Amino acid sequence: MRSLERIFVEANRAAVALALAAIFVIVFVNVVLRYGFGTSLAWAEETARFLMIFGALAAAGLALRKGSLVAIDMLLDILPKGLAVAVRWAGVLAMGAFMALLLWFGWLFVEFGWNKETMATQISRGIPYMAIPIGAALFLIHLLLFARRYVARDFELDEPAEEESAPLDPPAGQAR
Amino acid sequence: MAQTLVLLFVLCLALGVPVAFTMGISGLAAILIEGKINPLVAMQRIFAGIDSFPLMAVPFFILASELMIACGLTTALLRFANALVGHIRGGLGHVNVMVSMLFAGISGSALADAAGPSAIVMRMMRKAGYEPSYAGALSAATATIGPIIPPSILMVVYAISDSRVTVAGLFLAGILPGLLMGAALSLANHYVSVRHDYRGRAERASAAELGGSMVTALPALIMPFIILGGILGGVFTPTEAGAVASAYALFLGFLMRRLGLKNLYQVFVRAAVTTSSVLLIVAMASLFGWLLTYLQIPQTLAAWVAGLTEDRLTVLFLLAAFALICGLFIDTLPALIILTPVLGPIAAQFGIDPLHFAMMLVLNLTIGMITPPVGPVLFVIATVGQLRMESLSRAVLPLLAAELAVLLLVILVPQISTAVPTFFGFTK
Repeated sequence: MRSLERIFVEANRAAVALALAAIFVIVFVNVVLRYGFGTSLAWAEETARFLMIFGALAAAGLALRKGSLVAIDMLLDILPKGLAVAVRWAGVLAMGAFMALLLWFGWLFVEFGWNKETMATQISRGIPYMAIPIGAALFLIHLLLFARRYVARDFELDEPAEEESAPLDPPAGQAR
Repeated sequence: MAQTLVLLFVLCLALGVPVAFTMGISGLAAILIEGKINPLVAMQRIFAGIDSFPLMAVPFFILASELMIACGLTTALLRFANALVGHIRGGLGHVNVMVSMLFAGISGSALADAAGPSAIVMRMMRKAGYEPSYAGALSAATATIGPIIPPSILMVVYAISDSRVTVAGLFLAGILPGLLMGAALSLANHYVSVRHDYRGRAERASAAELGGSMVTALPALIMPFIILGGILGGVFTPTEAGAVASAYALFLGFLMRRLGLKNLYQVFVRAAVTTSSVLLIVAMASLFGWLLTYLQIPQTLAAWVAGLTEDRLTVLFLLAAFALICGLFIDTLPALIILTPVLGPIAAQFGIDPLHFAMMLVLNLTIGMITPPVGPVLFVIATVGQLRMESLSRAVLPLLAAELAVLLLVILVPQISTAVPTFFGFTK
């Protein structure tokens, strides 16, 4: 189970990193083409946009794990411990219910857009719309696996950033 | 319906549900309970909210700054700032201000600054004998310069919420207020340093040290010029500027041999996740904001304000006070997305210049990042520096006063916001 979770998280991370790398390459290459070769790719902007939307929604679960979804914890900090935990569980339920609705309506939205075409690439509109149900589904899995740690605020932090420890030479003669 | 929306919003927010979800939950629930609007409209709003090419500047500026940090350029900027102003009274405090202004040119977010260079200078200040709470407070205050000096993620999002301004115009408008913020914080630091007898480093940096540190920092120092120059020269759009800046940082990383393949992968993952936490808010705020407009809340509010006064300056002060109060309780980005379509039309109705209003709002809500109870930058600094929120909140007061003075100036003198964009012909 543990290792399955790790594979899932790693695959999710790879997918969103790849999406970001792709939009970067597409937009940058398009700039180079415009100035270097006087041409540009008609599909570039739209494709990059759809990839960005996919990446943003697909990374929501990872943002939850890292604790980078901003929330106001001020009230929770004053509440007695037991009550605060209960409130955080209620929050988990609310997020879960919302994402389940997003999965459901997102799916209907895909069906709704299926027979329409996008402007530039002329694929089915349903395809980019899939970002919503896919993102919601991924988030729900993350939430299921991570709920306990979310409630305990035991987030997955980054490995410490590089070379933080070597700022300047000893601050000779600073202050008193 | 308006009651359901607002009630659920306040309830979720107070109970610690993440802000993006707070807006999504209250919006969708209001639609479902009321039953008059097709829920698919909600999906459409969420999708359309982030279906924007200009918005793509956000991931690119995040990526560029992550890459620059991975190249070790934060340290280079720090050395340069230290050689430049380290010898003045309260030297490290001025270094703190200076490095934040320099870092603001490669980063568009206050949190990145707080967690990066500001946190490093804070540790240095503490080692050098500055009071820990003051070191923390100054680091928090200087971090707020990040989103004022271009590039700025807040301004990219602002331009999407208000069609009367452009990203380029906003970037230019931010330059003077950003410099003023730096000056005001330096002044405040001088005042504190005199009172507490914080000295600078023993001797002035030699010309060789200054020159050497400048050369190492140069790759980072020219980045804002690439971005602004490219946008102003009409060479590329702000989004493309972000991509070019990322490519530039990537190129530097390979040149300096600071970016391994594994490191690079982590940088992309980090940037993607940070982007997500920003864009989720934008997407959900798009649903929430649409409902506010649908319920005619901005119009009602505008009519109410119009009934109070006719005077332009009074209106601006009223709006500023309102935004300041919102900024105490709501995080900067969501507050910006919600308030821009609500307050913007009021400002327009009274003939306030859109760039002037934009700077007032951005500066105002950015200052909200260092005000308790909801001050995200304060939280970051308190966590990194293991400081108590109470002592940090107290130590930040004189610096807060300095920033509010700048806000007052920006409100009273529209030219601070409009002069630079007008000079470059970027007003609409």
